[in-house]
Amino acid sequence: MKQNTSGQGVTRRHFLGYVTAALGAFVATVVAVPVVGAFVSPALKKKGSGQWISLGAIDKFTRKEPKMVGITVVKQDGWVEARQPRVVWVVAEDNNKFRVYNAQCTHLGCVADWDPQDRTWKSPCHGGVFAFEDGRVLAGPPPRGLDSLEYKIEGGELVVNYQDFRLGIEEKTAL
Amino acid sequence: MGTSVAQWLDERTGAGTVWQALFKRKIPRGVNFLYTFGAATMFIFMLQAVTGIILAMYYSATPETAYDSIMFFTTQVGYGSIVRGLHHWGASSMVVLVALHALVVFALGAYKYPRELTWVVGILLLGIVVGFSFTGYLLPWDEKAYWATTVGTNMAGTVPFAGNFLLLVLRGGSELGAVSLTRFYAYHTVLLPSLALMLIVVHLYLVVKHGVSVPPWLWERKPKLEAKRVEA
Repeated sequence: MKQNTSGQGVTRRHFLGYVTAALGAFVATVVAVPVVGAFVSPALKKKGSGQWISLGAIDKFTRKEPKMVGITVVKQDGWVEARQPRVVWVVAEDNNKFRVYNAQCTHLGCVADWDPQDRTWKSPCHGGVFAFEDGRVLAGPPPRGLDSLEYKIEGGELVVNYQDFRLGIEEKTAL
Repeated sequence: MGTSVAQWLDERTGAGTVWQALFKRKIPRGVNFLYTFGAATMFIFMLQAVTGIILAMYYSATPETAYDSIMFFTTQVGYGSIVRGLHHWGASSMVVLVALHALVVFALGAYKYPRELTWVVGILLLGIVVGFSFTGYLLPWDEKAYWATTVGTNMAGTVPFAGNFLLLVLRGGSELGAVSLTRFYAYHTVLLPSLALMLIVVHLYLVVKHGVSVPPWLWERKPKLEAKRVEA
């Protein structure tokens, strides 16, 4: 096999090698774009919006103790319309005002439980502690306080705009 | 730097030898496009593998959800319709390509000594490709898929003596239903790919070992010289 050692131009053999490699790269790209696109497609979905869910009559909520309310959100889970359980904490305030918190700990999503002795919310997983007055972090790894939720009062019922948020980060961003 | 990395790897793996054997091997004078169907089939197999992996991520093998999951993939997932389309058309073209490959090998007498085993393994692979087609056809679980597979498995049921046994084993029950669907999904995505991969390795090894056969139109011209080229 003759080698091109003069440094001028390329041999026919090398040229064909480059053409083959280029064609191969082109075909690989044509296949890779849709395949990788479909693979990462879930990450490019637009953010979900909240859904308004009734928590029941407003007079069952008190100022002294937060009340846990289990709700069911209806989500389109791929090809399944899924009914998923969620939990919120409700605290009543004066003049028909309320505070409604998404019960998920902002660290990694365990449901924060109410501790009547300490009067704090505590996550059972990694020791996150949240204050009764405003849901701020008192101790543990959570990067932000409990996520408060929008609400309105309709026909004597407390209706909350339930929304899941991204966890483990400082900003409260919709998921 | 590029060469030193390649050298480092080659010293430890011998990958260079494999590369040489696969891509730098000598081929006889006079081969033409008829000799490319095997490689084309190999390319389609890889295409089916990558698109199939993506499809498997979105497929739910139950009678209630199979069709919905595929509709979700085609209409809601980015590039979903393209990936499914590639897999669909790839499936058809793979059957066409293996058939052409086998025809060319037969017509050119390339299956003769010493390549009989390459042929036998190739025929097994042909059977596997047909198996892929048959099992993949059911997975969309629409009317066409359901009835085509009902008819196909009923054919197996008419085999003398073993027919009923074959039918029940293929379907996983007497009726085509939930058990058949998971079974066919497992055939299509686990069993057949494993078998195909093993046989492809054997097939390629034999192709590399024996080299490409000399085209018959060169058999009479300087047979000794041509035979030497193949050995090299």
